[in-house]
Amino acid sequence: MEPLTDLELVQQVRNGKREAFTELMRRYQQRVYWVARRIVGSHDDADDVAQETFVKAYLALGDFRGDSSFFTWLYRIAVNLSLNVVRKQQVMNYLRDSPIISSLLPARENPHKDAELKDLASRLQQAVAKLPEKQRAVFVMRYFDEMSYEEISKVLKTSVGGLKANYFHALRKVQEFLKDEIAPNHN
Amino acid sequence: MKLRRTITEITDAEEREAQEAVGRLAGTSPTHHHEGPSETYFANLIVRTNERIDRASSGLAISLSWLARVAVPGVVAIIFFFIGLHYYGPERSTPSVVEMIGTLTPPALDSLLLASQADPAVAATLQRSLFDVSADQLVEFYIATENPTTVLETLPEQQVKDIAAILEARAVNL
Repeated sequence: MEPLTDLELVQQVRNGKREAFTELMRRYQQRVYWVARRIVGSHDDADDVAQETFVKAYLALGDFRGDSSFFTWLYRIAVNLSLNVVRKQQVMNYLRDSPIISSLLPARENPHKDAELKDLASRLQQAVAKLPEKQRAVFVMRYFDEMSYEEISKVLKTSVGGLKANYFHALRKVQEFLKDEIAPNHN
Repeated sequence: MKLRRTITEITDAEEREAQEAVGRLAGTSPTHHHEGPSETYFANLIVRTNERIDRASSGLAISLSWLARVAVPGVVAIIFFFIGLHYYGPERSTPSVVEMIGTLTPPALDSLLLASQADPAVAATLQRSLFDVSADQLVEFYIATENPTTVLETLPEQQVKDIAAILEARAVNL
């Protein structure tokens, strides 16, 4: 028997069949997790983004019109949530740079985060973390997920030309970062 | 002046070459996942997400969750920044967070809230239920969830309550 399509599963969810949504989660949870992980950099944040992505998708399924595929729609939610996390990380990092502000803030959100980044994510992940948010998202989708520009364009609602430029500049920056990382070890 | 290369100048071959260079420098293939979670994790993720969906399925839960996790912490983080600026000002006393929020104009407050807005895909859902909660409910929910990452932890309960009341009263445009 042929497996149900995403749209058929979506229709079943709309008709009240919750198990159909579990099947959709089963299909896409790894891709959602990994795109989040690549963008936000840590497992804990990626775990939260992955869960929130599916929660939001479930709650907003009534608004899904099928203009794009279910996966593209879901992926867009995941990328946007991941970028929200990145923005919050940047604000918190900025605030922590001030001695006065940092004294008002609680201890670092996740004391294992830095170590995790060093141990788990490799130099490449560190390089990705240095990219501006748009380039970071494009790099993750193109380099790691090997998505076509047309697919990325549907997710980010940006022109293919702009995405190409973003990706190329991201590649150059990552290269430079990696070269700088490697060079001291060779001296 | 350094000019950026235009989009049309970047050929597929150049892109491929740059991509391969990154792969060589990183020493991994693009699809290699560094120490990813186990299959057990993903099985568990479905269970936990289903539980979260159950909790979020009511409009009340959505409002409380969004307020406690996104809106209020977002505003407070920014306000802390303003307090820091004030502290450095000459002959100024440090105002409280509540005082600072109280002095913001409604458009400024709306801007702060929108800056931490949720995904547009579910904005319509959120709008239907946002702020349909009392300050007491928000505080109770916040304390119950014990979110360890928010700066709100540094605030006394009464201040959280006051902030929630101000947000409820003012952020009517969302």
